[in-house]
Amino acid sequence: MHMSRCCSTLALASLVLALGAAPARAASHREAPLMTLDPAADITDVYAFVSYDADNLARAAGDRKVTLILNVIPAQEPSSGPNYFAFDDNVLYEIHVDNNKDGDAEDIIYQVRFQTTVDSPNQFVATLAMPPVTDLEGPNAAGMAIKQRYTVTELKNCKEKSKGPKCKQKTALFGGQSKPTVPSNIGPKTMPDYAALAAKGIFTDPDTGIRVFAGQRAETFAIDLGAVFDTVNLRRTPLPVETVVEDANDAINPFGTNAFSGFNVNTIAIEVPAKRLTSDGASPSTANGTIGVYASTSRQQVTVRRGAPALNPKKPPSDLLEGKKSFRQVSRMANPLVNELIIPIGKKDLWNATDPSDEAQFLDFYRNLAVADALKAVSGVDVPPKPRNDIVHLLTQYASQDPSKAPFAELLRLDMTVPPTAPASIKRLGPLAHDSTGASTPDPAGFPNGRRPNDDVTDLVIRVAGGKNYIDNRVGDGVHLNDKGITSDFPFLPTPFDGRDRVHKDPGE
Amino acid sequence: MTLRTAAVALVGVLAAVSAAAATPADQAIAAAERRLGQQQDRPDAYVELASAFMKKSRESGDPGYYRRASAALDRAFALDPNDYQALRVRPWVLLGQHDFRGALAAAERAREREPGDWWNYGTLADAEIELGDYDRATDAVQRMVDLRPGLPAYTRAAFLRALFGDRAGAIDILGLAVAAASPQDPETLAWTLVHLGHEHFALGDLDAAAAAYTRALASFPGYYLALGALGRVRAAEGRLDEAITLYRQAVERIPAPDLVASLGDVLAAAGRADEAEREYELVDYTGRVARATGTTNGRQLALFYADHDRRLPEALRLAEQESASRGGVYTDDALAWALYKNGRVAEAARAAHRALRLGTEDAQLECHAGLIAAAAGRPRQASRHLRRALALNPYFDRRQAAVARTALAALDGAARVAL
Repeated sequence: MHMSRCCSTLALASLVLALGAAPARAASHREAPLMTLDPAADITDVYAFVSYDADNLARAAGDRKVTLILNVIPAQEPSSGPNYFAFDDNVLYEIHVDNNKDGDAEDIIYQVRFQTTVDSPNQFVATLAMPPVTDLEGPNAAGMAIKQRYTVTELKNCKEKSKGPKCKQKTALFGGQSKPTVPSNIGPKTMPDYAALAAKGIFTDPDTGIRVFAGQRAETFAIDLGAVFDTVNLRRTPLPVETVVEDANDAINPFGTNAFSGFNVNTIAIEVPAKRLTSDGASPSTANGTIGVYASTSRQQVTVRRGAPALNPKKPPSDLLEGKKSFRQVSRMANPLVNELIIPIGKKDLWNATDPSDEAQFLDFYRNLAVADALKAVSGVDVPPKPRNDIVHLLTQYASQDPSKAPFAELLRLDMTVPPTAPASIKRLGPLAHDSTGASTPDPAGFPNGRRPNDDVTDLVIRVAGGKNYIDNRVGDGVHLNDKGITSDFPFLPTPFDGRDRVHKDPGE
Repeated sequence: MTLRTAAVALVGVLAAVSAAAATPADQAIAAAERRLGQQQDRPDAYVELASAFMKKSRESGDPGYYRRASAALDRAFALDPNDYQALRVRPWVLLGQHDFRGALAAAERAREREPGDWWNYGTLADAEIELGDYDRATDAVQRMVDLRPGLPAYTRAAFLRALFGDRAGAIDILGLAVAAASPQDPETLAWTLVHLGHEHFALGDLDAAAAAYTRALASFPGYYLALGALGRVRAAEGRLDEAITLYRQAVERIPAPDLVASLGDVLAAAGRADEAEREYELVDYTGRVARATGTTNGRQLALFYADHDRRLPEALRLAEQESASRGGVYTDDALAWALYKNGRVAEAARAAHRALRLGTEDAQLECHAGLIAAAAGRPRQASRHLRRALALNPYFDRRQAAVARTALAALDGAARVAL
């Protein structure tokens, strides 16, 4: 016994020494998470445009419809089973509209809430060993272990209050009935005709004519993110400039690699008759036809100390749990890349929590436009002088407004009187588009007049930030498009890549 | 596009394809080191590395990574003493190193720089909780929730609710936290589930606790926190062989004193006294190494020595040392227990009273308070505490629950005699 004890102690000693005597200092305090991702509330992109499907192109100008899109859950690897990607029941998803140019986007709000049902709570996979999923509801949907439904509510004439908006008018779409979301595209055996399945997830409310979709789509935002993060090490030297011919060709990626090729997102798309978005209910005109849009996600507020039951005998704890009705905005987006390129680290979360109509506190970051300095540092090419009041006006005021008098609100602005461009004629560079001879061929229906899913906001932002030199020299990241191209029907985003057969490649690869 | 988030996710995804065995933290360390290969003059690259080491430390339970995180931060500060990202990460690292006062000061500095950054209220609250300043911690977490509701704020709010005697409310908030977790960050989801399980366990709901721990293991296989926690449930259910297997798996990953001691306790309960003694020796040995190297994990060791009636003067020394550097009800509890075991009953009773000042529903705190009250000659108080301990969670600790039952029976017998 004595012998074995001696030797076991020796063995233990060597074990402990091998571990560097660390265990005595194991993390014994409760180290709660700080660095976390919140993909379900992370808005990746916002789009607002006059719908460009054949039906809408054929409609009279006054009867056209407008599509508003909110994307969340970035960079979804399609093969990420077994849990795949879902909206969060605890997140309030909203799209806000300003239709009287006061910068307060509370004139119309679309609120979307999700409810998840788990058919088999004790298993951790998305699908059961069942017949293929060919429907979103009923027996042919039985193969999905987890299902999500959602409701859409339209609020009008709201005033922001501390506990949420107070609105004069409220319309629950579909009479308040929930609709099914479209699940992640798992693969051809589970979902043999995904496109047909997803088409069943488009619903039109008969009373309002509003069309909705919620579910997975392919990512259309395209950027050479890898090169950008590598200290703007773009893949053409000495300068990342495109030839006139390359820049005019929207079907190629001349020298960049799209970091998002083969990835998916989750989409909420709402298509509304334009008349329903104007302040007076009339067809869009010069007077009433421009709206400002932003999307937000909010999470439930909670009261940290609601008081132990014993300490609050007269107030049952459920009454003190105020969180049930109160939400705090955690992410917002209107124009692309504002949070990434303009708002500095340390202010990003605060910016996300701030109402766009309170943008004035951030305007110095717009005027200083650090990204323009970065462009100059990398390329050596001059950028416009500061303060960049042109950027402030472009992103936070309506074009027709007097910059010295108008309120500042960072909104994505859409002139709904501009007719939609047919898919075959859509130009990724919108107002800066040109043909292969360099002659200007502007497409006025794209960013910064609203934003369509395939607008090349990376190149547009680089050029607008860099100014004339960058526009004239066609500076860009060398990525024009994702390999699924333009989708010409609602919800205007492509069928997602499926989990089994997904590839990550650029067009032509 | 939220580029930063997307990039993190993307890196995770791509790395997962190339190295299936590497954990998210390993991938983060590799990514940060790759970046440092190209950008040695960037403070934020070192901050990224420090953050990755912090992640690895929690994932593995190995505190050696705190030193490496600290060293990376030093490099960032050498490049720019005012780098904000380094300033906000500093208190996080100091918390890991158990320098709670230093963490508090560092968190306050970062908050002065950016009062609108929710992160700073998280580090502030963590330091204040460890120092026992619960009212300030509550204010900080409320501010954090107001600025940014989400998993980091929810998990802290839940902890404060539990401390203040509202475990049902803690479970509510942890449900929100679980729903907010990202599938691309499985360790964080698993951590949150483990702490959800702890709340259920504290209320004696073994099934709910086991379900949460099992889900944690499904999310992040081999997670030492979940293995140990599930082992405790199996031990409580009397499934001792399963408990031993789970504790052994946990200890293989990280021989933390509380895990090794628990393994010893289950072995002892299974009648394997010799094996149990070997585990106890390992705890004891790590304690002596810790003392020799000047490091300490006082609370765990003090409780171990006191629970097992070993090296009782050392238990008290450790508990007193902890009280000097750290406050809070669990530090008071460890001090109370060590004082009691060393025969200093009056002081033990005062410390036990402090340990229960928040109204925390915790069987261990109640049990200690009850046994101390009995020794102090207050039988009615003793009996109330012991009943409460066993009513809250009869499974809280095999050894101590048995002691509590015996003591309660003796008190009841004495009460009958007195009548």
